[in-house]
Amino acid sequence: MIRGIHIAASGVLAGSRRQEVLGENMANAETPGYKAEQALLRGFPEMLLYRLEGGRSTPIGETYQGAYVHEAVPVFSPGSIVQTERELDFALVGDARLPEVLRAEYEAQYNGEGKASPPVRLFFTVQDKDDPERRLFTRDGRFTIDPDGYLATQDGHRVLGFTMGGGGADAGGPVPIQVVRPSLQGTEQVRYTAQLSPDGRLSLLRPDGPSDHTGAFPPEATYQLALAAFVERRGEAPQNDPIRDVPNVYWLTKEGGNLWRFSEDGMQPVFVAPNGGAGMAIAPGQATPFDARFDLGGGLMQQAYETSNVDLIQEMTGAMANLRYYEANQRALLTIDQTLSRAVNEVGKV
Amino acid sequence: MERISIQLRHALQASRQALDTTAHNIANTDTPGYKARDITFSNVYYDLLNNQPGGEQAGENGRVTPEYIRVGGGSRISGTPLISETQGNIVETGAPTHLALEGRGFFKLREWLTGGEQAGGQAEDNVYYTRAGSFHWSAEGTAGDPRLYLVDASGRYVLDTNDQPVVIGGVVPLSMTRSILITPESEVLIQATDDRVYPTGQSIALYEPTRPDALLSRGDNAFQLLPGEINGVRLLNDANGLLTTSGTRLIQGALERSTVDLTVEMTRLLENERHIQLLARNWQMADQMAGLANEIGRRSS
Repeated sequence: MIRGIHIAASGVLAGSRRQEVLGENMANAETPGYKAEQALLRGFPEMLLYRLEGGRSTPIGETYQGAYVHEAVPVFSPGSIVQTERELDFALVGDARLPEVLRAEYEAQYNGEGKASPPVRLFFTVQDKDDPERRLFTRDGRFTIDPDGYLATQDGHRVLGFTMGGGGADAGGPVPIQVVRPSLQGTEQVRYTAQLSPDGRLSLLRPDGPSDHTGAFPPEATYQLALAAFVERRGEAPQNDPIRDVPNVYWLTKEGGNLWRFSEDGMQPVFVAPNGGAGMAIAPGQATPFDARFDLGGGLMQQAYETSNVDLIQEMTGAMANLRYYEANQRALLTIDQTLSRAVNEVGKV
Repeated sequence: MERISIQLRHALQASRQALDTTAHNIANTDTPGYKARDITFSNVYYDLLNNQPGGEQAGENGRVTPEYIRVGGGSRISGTPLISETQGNIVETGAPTHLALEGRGFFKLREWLTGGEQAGGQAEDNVYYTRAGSFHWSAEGTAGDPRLYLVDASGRYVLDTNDQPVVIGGVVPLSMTRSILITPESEVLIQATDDRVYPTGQSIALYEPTRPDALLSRGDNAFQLLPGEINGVRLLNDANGLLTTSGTRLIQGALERSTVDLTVEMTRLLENERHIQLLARNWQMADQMAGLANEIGRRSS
């Protein structure tokens, strides 16, 4: 009987935990770049029952121990793109793309298993404002300028990009992007206009000049936004997988502020540029920071941002079903309790 | 159950703030020079729950995500940015003191005639910036030496490129002044009764904040810089006091309309409303679950 109480109680707890995951999704239906999570229930491992008789044990079956929320798996499908008039609203449209060669290689290797190449999700890279050594990732492109003049998220984490110097992208790693800089005379701070092209190149243009920026003034500075790629793969990558070294998107964990943390030690994030970073090589002898295997697929949009991918109908129906699941488990618990009460109070009553 | 209450409380607060911002925008549909405010949501901290003693890493037993589960705390507002990039429509009013801005920039206003500290206040306390050019003349000076100062509806003086209030009646006496001309490059000129145009030597100053979040709304269409803002504002007028290189121009006799787009605001209003309804419904369900949990504790005889 007591085991029955524990099993029913585990169902009640699982329902409660799942409600929290659903509630989190519903709360963030309007959060830009938010990815909905699905709570997966799993049964506790079964226990084998044995009968002891005459010194021998005979297996007689299995007993179950209830269920629990095993994990909350995010869904990385892209959200809709909303257009705004805001200069610093950036949107990641679509995933990174594997070139034809690699895709064909995938199909050839997994031919017969019906596998296509897995999606490769892109994220903006930002610097943790409390720990500049730490990098965090986000899909929320509603950026602003922090008090020191750097491009940053609304909470003040600076966005990283590779400086496109004379030779190409910086090999020292991506750096914060300074949008407010001293003017040419050096007398005052000027806010440069940020212009984002669909291939991820951010140009800082002088605000004074022809209003259509047709090139009379070249950009003051250019950056290639540090876009980190993560492959969406369930389970282990096979040994001959051509993108085996790319981190898995499911190893990202959420933090507050629309940020993701990469929690796997020993793996470095992979940065993506158009055409695999061709033409962005730095000084000879230094490796390009971009992974040559990937291309930017959909690209980026300025004056737009990505909404959350929460489907409110799905969440609502899930919540209603969860309520009934909770109720059913609660009823089971009460019934077991009642039966136990009879056993305790009435059996053996004189 | 407690966590779901926290989530919903945060989310409902955030949604209510979003509604407030939308309502504020709608209320200011006709305010000259008004820039609409947008609202950005963000998620809240995550609790790490060890739901499986002994742990299980990603990749074991078909598990996809790293060990433990992370449950969130709802949503919050991360910012209410001013969409200052949008240009409002220019509407002619005919009043010679009405100025519309086409392009970037804000007028600079000051509450007191002279700058500097007064009565224990800070010099910056009485400096404001506005986009609404609905100015008028304020008659000051003495009977023998009358002056007209350009002020806004609250009586704050409009400043020129030398941080002095824009004033007429000095260079050309008021008795000889027929009309005031303000050029698109922001120069203030007087057309005198002798049909000649005299420069007053003043140009209306336009400033641009170096970062959009640096402006604090003070009501009456006026903004102030955030205290401690190190980058401040930048003068758009060039060394001659003109606006030629900035891409901005002044239009006299017109006002810039509010940038609020009612279709956008109404859509946002509907979205917010539906979101709040769904959150409230979720809370009802969570409350029902809490009621069921309470029943468990009730002794069944």
